Amino acid sequence: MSSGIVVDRVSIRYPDTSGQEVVALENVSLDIPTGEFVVLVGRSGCGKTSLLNAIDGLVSISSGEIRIGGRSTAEASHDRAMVFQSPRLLPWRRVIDNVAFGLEARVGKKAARERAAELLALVGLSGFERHWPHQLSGGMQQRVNLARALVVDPKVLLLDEPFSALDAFTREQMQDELLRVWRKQNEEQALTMIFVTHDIGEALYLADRVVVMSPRPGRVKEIIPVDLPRPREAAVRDTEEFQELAHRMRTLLEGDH
Amino acid sequence: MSNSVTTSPADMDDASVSIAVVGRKLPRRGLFFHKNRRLFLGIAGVIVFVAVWQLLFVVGFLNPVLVGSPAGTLESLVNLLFVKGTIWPDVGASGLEFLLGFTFGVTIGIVLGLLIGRFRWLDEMSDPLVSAFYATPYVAFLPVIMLTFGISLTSKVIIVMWAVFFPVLINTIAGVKNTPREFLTLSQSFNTSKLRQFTEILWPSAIPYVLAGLRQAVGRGLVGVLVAELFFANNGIGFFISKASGSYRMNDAFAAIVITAVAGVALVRIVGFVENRLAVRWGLSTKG
Repeated sequence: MSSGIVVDRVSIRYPDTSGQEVVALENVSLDIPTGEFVVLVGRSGCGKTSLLNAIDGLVSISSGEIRIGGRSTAEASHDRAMVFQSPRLLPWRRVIDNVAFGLEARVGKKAARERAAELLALVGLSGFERHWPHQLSGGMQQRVNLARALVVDPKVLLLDEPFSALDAFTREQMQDELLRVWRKQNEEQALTMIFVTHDIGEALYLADRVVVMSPRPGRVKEIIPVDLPRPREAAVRDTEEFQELAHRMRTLLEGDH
Repeated sequence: MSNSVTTSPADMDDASVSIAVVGRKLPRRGLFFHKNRRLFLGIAGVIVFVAVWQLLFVVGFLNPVLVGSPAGTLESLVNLLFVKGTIWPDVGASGLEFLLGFTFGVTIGIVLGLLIGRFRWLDEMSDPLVSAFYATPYVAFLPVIMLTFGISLTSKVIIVMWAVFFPVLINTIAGVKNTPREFLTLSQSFNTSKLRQFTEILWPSAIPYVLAGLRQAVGRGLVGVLVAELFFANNGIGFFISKASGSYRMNDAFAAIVITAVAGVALVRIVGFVENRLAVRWGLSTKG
């Protein structure tokens, strides 16, 4: 079954604390084919996180529609999962039970744990099942965050600046890790990725296409295809093509003030 | 001699120098003391207190007819607890009142607290009532309770329930309300049912607050037991204190007070132990 995403003339408006209307997103349309890795980039206030939340069904859309595989996201569904910016691990659950959280209600505690253990292995955290979240480093907590989203076997994975709080070295390591996990998951079932960041290098390294957004109101400014070969390695960052794309994106983003 | 270690001060790096300095500063006898510092100083505090207490008799400030003395209290304690063992029925009666009242009061407090914390309309509806009842000293209701239920176990259980209910209720409400929004959006993102949101997010998030409430409730519950028994009872520790004081057996009265104090400290310690264990497990910041 297709899990392509259609964002069809979507606007999100809400009143701020003083009652003034804020336009987070205005008339945004976007087609994301199944299995594509799309990165949303833009300055703060460009609505990239709002769009992500709307796709997850966490915020309601004022007008327009978002469909995944032909079905509106207004209906609750397990075909998408979110990797949050902060790890949000529940302190009262051990690592394995944090990962199992989203699956427990559907398949029971035992089966959920078994699946969770597989995903912990996938993100390289075998042996940490019985740990408590605070015993892990920031990078490890984000791996758990990723495993927790993957445990429900989503067709669409939404990632909201998941590596922004990590140091530069760990961030690049996690980017490689994410690409590896994505490739692995893709072998069994197409996994569409929507990744939000404000880091140009991160966007180019990960994406098939980068959607550059502009703020106030949030709009799509330009969509840049990234035709760098896969699988990608750190060296790709030094290529002329990469540098040119980075330059082009920087110019696009500098226009927004 | 080639492999003997000879280190002149000049060879030492900074680290070893500082270790040497710290080592010299630490007196050898201090090691055991420092490990059990709290215990030793705590015992020292008790000894000072008892000494001052005794001293006040020696200088004639306290009258042994009206106030129990340290030695007399100790003698009474040994007698009442071990030699004659006559206080045990009263300890049992008070213990039962406390246990029942505490269990019911805490359970109701937690359940209502979870509901009020979760549903805003319930919170708004109950807020003035909760504030008013919490602010009113519950002893004011003692006569009414006694008139209604008589000098019975029921009336004392109700008083203890009343005493422990409010701190637990108020803390539970605060705990639910302080659940990080992040955790709620997380559960929403996973399409978690309302019931599971309650049991898996709101309740565990409130547990540290509930425990803080329990710690307060222990003290209030003990006061409840004693107050109820001092005024209306025919058994229990409070009744014993009242009876002993009435017949000028002040050492006996003081012994009963000591028993109550020890019970109170022990109960608070138990709750504190659970609190600390949880804080360590969950990585919560604590007083240390």
